[in-house]
Amino acid sequence: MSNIAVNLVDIKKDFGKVRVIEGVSCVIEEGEFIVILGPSGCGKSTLLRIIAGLEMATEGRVFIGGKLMNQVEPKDRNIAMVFQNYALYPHMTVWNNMAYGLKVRGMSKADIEIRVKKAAGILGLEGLMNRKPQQLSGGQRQRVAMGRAIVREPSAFLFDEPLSNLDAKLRVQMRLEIKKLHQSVKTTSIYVTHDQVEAMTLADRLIVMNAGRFDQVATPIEVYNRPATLFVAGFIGSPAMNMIKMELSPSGDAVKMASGNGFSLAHPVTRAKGKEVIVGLRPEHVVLSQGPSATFSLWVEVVEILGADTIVHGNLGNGDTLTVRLPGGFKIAAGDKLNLQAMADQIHIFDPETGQRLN
Amino acid sequence: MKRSILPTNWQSHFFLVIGVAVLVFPVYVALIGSTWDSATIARGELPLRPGPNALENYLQAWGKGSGQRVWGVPVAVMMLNSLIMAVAITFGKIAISIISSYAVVFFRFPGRMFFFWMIFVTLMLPVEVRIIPTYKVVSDLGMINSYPGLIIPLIASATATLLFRQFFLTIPDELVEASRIDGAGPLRFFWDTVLPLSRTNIAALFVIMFIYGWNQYLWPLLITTSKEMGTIVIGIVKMIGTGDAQTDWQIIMAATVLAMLPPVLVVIFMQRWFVKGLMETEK
Repeated sequence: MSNIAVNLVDIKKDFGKVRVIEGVSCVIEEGEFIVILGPSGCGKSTLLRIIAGLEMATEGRVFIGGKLMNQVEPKDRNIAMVFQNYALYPHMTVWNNMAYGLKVRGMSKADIEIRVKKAAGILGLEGLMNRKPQQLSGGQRQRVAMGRAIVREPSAFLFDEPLSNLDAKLRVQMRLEIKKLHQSVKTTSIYVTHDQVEAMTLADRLIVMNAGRFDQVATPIEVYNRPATLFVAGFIGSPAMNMIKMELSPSGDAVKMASGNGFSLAHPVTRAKGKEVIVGLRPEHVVLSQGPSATFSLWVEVVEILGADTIVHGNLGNGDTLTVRLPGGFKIAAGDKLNLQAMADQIHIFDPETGQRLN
Repeated sequence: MKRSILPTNWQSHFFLVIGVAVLVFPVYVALIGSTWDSATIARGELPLRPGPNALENYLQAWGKGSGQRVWGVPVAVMMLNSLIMAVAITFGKIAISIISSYAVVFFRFPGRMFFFWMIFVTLMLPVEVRIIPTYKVVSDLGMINSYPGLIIPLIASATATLLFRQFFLTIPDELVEASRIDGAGPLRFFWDTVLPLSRTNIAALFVIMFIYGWNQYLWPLLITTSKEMGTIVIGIVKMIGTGDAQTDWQIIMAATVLAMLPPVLVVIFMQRWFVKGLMETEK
């Protein structure tokens, strides 16, 4: 059994009368890379700041390394944080930015030098040590911010949307570097982002947060394959999952639209039989119908050619719209009609009232 | 970075030259006046070219002084008084106001906004309004004719406090938080981060406050009665005769020119400093 690095017990947070975190709990194991994913305002940054000690939880307990940390100052929590705007000291050189936290802690000059040099080596900052932050590019500043965290050798790294200030290309590159960094130093990391690609690629486990709650805590692939709620289903995946209102058959093994079209399910649903449900279909899980028995027909409205994929937007004739991902080079134009069927084992069924997954 | 420049033409130079001439001419007259003997000036025939008596005039002003009311107090002493007062006021103002704004901006304590507004309100009360009560306090404390009496009442500065506050508000919260995580306490954060970041502001305030201190007139006039404590600005006024005695205009002009030098030097020296600071933060 690996050790528990961070343990959150029923954390609640109020700002004035508004409750932004509704009581969340989570156990993070040592060496894990946890990504907290959610839209703006879902409370993910606040939660990270509670772990860092920059905010106080209204209720609940924060354990780091087995110790209760609620009343402990950020500096004594043995964590390091990377901020969205880097928060480098503008008047200090790269070297001093990285060494500062160690200096304040009274570490000897020789030890500081060893640690800073090592971190600079990992991050490829050796040639920049005498520069000031203004003389660095965005990616380099980001690296210095990470270097400042690494030299501390903390028990956990906290990343607060560290890549959002970078341009798209650099973001991809830094994402890779963070992943490599984690593979080499293996420090527990908690990473907050609203970018699902960052979340999917970096996370060992993913926490999807919505309106102050954890909607799902699982591996990225599980979150993709079996989203726990409607919110998660709609948030993960691009283009977004199609959501269609259908009726579950009384036996629970098939769904059908108001128009009568429908399809049978690979695994029958035991709840909500005969009731209205929301059926989620990922665009990549709708395929061209092979035989004459088309499950439904799509009237094509817009075609987006992305090269590797062709994204087709259309309607089902009854007002419902559907997006389909087809292979690149597929010849189709607006106004055409497509015969499609859903992959029977890739159908998601949700309760329209609670948003919870049913199958 | 260079600002975009409109094409230079003779009109703009013409107006610049006129403007400069208007400002510089009186200074030039003072400079010329300090190089002639008293007889030439007394006849009202001051030429616009330098005269032969520059050295003796400046030596007399610097070493002996002039005028009945301040006889025997050389300009050197008055300038030293002015310098001590101006420098002390400058450092005092910057020290007090930077600490007050640090408290108001970065700490949450009961009455924080009350104190902020109290400081703010003093902006509405110029020195002249509160000069009599201030005089009473200083005199009761026995500080008449002393440096503390000259300096302390002028140290509190709402303007500088507000200026530092505005600057501190631009320091991102993340920087404060990064410091907290790095383990720097409030004093450490002040010394290691806030103070170095404020150096451009400090340089600018230094210039303004030094000139403010150097040019003080009303307060030193009230608080110093012995001529040995007089500042240069007061001294120059007192050198002008009251009517019975002859006024040594050439000595007064020399003293005036000498009195201009420290502010000019501060501006020249500090300008390099804060232009450098501005350029560093611009990128």
